[in-house]
Amino acid sequence: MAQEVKTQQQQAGAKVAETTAHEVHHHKETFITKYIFSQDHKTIAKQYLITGMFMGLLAALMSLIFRIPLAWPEAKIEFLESILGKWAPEGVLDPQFYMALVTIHGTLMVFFLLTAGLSGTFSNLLIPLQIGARDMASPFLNMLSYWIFFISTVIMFISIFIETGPAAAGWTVYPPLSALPQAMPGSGLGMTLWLISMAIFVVAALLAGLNYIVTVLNFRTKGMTFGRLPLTVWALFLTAILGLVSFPVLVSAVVLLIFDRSLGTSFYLSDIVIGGQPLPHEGGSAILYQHLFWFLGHPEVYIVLMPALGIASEVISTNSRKPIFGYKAMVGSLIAITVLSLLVWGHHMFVTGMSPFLGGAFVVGTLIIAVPSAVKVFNYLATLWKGNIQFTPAMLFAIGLVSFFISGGLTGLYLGNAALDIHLHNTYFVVGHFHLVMGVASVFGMFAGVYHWFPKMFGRMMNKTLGYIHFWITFVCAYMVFFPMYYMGMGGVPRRYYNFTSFDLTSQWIDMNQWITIAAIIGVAAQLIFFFNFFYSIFAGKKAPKNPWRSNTLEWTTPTVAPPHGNWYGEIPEVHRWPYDYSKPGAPVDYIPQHISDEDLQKGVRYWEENDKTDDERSQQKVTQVQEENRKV
Amino acid sequence: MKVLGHIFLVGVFLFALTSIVDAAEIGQMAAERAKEAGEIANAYSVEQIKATTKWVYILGAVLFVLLLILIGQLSYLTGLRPPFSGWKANKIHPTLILIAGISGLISFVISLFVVWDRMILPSASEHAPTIDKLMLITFILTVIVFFATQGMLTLFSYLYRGKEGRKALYYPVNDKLEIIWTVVPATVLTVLILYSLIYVWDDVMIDAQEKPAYEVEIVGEQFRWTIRYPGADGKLGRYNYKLIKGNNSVGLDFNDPHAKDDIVISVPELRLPKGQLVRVHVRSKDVLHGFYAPHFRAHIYAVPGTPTSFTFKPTVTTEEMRKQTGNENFNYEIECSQLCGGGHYSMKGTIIVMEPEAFEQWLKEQKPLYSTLQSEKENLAHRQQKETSKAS
Ligand code: HEM
Ligand SMILES: [Cu+2]
Ligand SMILES: [Cu+2]
Repeated sequence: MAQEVKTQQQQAGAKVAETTAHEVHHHKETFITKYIFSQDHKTIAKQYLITGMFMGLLAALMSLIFRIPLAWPEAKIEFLESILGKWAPEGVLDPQFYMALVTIHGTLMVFFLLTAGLSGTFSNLLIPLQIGARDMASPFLNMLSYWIFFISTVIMFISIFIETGPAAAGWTVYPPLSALPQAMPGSGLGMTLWLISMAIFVVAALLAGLNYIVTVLNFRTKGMTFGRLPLTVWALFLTAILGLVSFPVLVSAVVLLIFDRSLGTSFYLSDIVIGGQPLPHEGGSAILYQHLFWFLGHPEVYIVLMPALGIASEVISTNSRKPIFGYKAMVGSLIAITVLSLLVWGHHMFVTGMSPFLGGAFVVGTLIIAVPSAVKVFNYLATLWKGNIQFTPAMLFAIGLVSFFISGGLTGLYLGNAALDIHLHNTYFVVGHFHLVMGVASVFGMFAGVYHWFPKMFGRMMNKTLGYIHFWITFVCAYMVFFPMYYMGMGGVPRRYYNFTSFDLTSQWIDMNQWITIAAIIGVAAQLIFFFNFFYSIFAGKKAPKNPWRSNTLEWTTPTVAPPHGNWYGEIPEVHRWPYDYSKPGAPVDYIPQHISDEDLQKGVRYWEENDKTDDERSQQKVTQVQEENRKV
Repeated sequence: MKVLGHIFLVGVFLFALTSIVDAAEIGQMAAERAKEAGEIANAYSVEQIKATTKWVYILGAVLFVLLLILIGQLSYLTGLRPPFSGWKANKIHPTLILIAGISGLISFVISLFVVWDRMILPSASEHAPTIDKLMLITFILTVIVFFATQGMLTLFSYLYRGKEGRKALYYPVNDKLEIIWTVVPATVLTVLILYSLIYVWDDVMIDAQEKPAYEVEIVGEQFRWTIRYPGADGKLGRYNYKLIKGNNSVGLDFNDPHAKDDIVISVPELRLPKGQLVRVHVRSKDVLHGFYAPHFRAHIYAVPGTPTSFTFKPTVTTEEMRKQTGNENFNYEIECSQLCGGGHYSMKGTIIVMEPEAFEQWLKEQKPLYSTLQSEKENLAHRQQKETSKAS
């Protein structure tokens, strides 16, 4: 069996090599095959990235709109009426549309920016390049998964503009609210579109995930054992597995909800009187939906977070010029998180009336998962210790990630502890917690990744100064926005409130809300600097050197702009060591790339650098030669 | 290519900025309209002002774009060096990190002082102090870890900033350390879990459920609360959602004798006797709601089809709490904690804790729903009779 797999693998490898050579000869790319329906994993990565970035920007702008009534409940802003029409009569946001914006904001951020945008981008870019493969196992499936994802994006986007408004039951869309169109306008067509979009999204995520898993298992280059995989690949690989296990459960939750909505079944509905009318549904359980949803929902926060942690490991190690501390512990904690995160979903449901004994079991699981998270933080700190830290923008974002991961993670100890959750459940404490630990931390991981691998994606450098400005404003504003939410939550302020005027408990926090909103406006504005820098640098950035961060991983051994098919012109480099040989005693420089054997090492830096260069030049020459010949023919 | 990029981006920015200018102008015009309504302004000068401000804006926009490009160009001069040159020292960012770390931790402490009174709610139930104590333990624990880890992050970033000629320590692993920082958190957490489950969670959610208590019911619907007391027999009667109709707003089933003396109050004020264990049964007529009474550390969902309950003992009357907080208008509030639609943010109730005698007195004055409905029915029958007799 094992042998069979191996031969298959070799065949596949050979085939890819063959096609590469073949394509150099005959392949003629049109604009459409090159940029739109591309099967090149690097182009698909860029597609994911740019789609995700715009969804993220949209979601961030939404958060600015819905922050207005929280800070200035009476303000009439005519501008709002001119863009939102009936949803902001006389410039005052409608409560229904407030909820719609919160819902779409959450959905876009969690799924479209941080699942597709983060995991999709870096899995596609890094898995083949870092394991030394010419492309994904199935480039076609890969392309398909992006376009299926794109369809779901379009559906979600369209849903914002329909007459009754988009889904408004929160990103968790709990029934019965989401199941009954009579309960709120957003539960009409908007919810239908939301559900369809999410179902399609999951299909895309599964196709993509399968591809990542198969690629990591079968397409590693010679010498690339699991013990030598970069932590990015480990993280992306485990993320794909986690998604594969948990996403299908979301589909079943969604499908049953569609049945309840359209076919009159009663999976989640029972004993309901709405608009004075008793409904015939009986025997369903609204809590069942929550079990199914959170079986995905909790792993989802790790699906969002783990790629960011992987990126941080890579960036921190490279820029500290030190091996990542405790490689095995880092991998072990990722595996532990993957497994444990499937067992803790009930911590979202302590006060739903679920059996308190079950609640107790979930407390144990939840607080156990804090241990591998703590281990990761300590390992990051130990990596920085006695390093020679290079403060690139990517490194700053990675350090920021660790800071947010601590600030957000520690409050998990409150929320995971059922007794404390009695007081804190569904308050702003939760909003502060998940924004810091999953939202901002993952966004920072994504930024770190973009700044770090931009040269690999576009062959140019991003502007450093703008990167620094972007980092500092974002870092300070993120703390100013989300940290005060802890205080409000402790003080008993529930989340998903349109404004704070109805309760004494909430109205005393309006000044804090103004502070938060102002910080949010500045923070979001700073993202425009990033957008500017990103698109400006694509066209006009400084040409990147081949290995700008002096990194060890394989992606930096390809030509600066890796060729669309096959990544390497010549042979795929063979791997001789793990990826973290930074500042190794006895080495001539402070890094030893993975493809350098001990023999090469003896011959000195000059040798391996020259060798790389000539390799490249030679293959480049070969390609131009072939192209010339083609042209003549 | 580079030039194209410049032109493209300048275009995009100008476009964005002019639309901002437009938006600003809409606001300006609105302001003017308001002014004109108030006093007769000089129309000519308003026009003029408008024309000039627009040019100022556009000029500003152009300058802004040029500035951005300048920043971009400048940084090229100091940009990346080719590979294999020595690492360059970078002092600015480690220093900024040091400043941010220290000032961040200081402002954390200051902010605690600022918000403390609002953040720590006075407690008014018997179990609340046990939760608060656990909260305090967790708070102390996490603040220590918070300071230690954030402090290390800041300090290491500063101390080990890159310098010319510096070499990082090749130190890939230390199993002893890994074991320490796995076992220590695990042990601390185990103790915390055991303490919290045994002494708090079980007491509040399991043991209290089994004790005899005064039973009341609160029913959620979009977007209000209705309250039911058991009446003289001390037992809440049966209900069925299909019987919800008109004034029988919680669907009481009067075939059950226990239901006949139940009192239903549509004002969302839950009155409770002080010093008496009460079990608040929570249910919902339509979608999910959340019964959340922060001062009592009481919280449970209202789930259609699945009744839930929360048991607690109020220990401070509303009057006493008004004195304690020095706030004449203080009220215990019930907040809806689970999104239930557009009015979720205003789905309010209050809890009024009374001296037991006063509570008994008040309860006696309330009429059971059954008798109210009965007399309504009689009235109706009466009127109908009259009408039919008139007609004939
Ligand atoms: C641009 C900065 C952001 C601001 C100012 C912001 C603000 C907020 C606020 C105030 C809420 C709560 C609203 C309420 O409960 O009434 C919220 C909800 C949410 N946000 Fe953000 N957020 C931002 C970025 C993010 C990011 C990066 C994520 C990614 C995880 C995210 C994910 C969510 C989610 C999942 C919800 C919950 C939606 C729901 O309750 O259904 N947000 N956001
Ligand atoms: Cu969770
Ligand atoms: Cu509600």
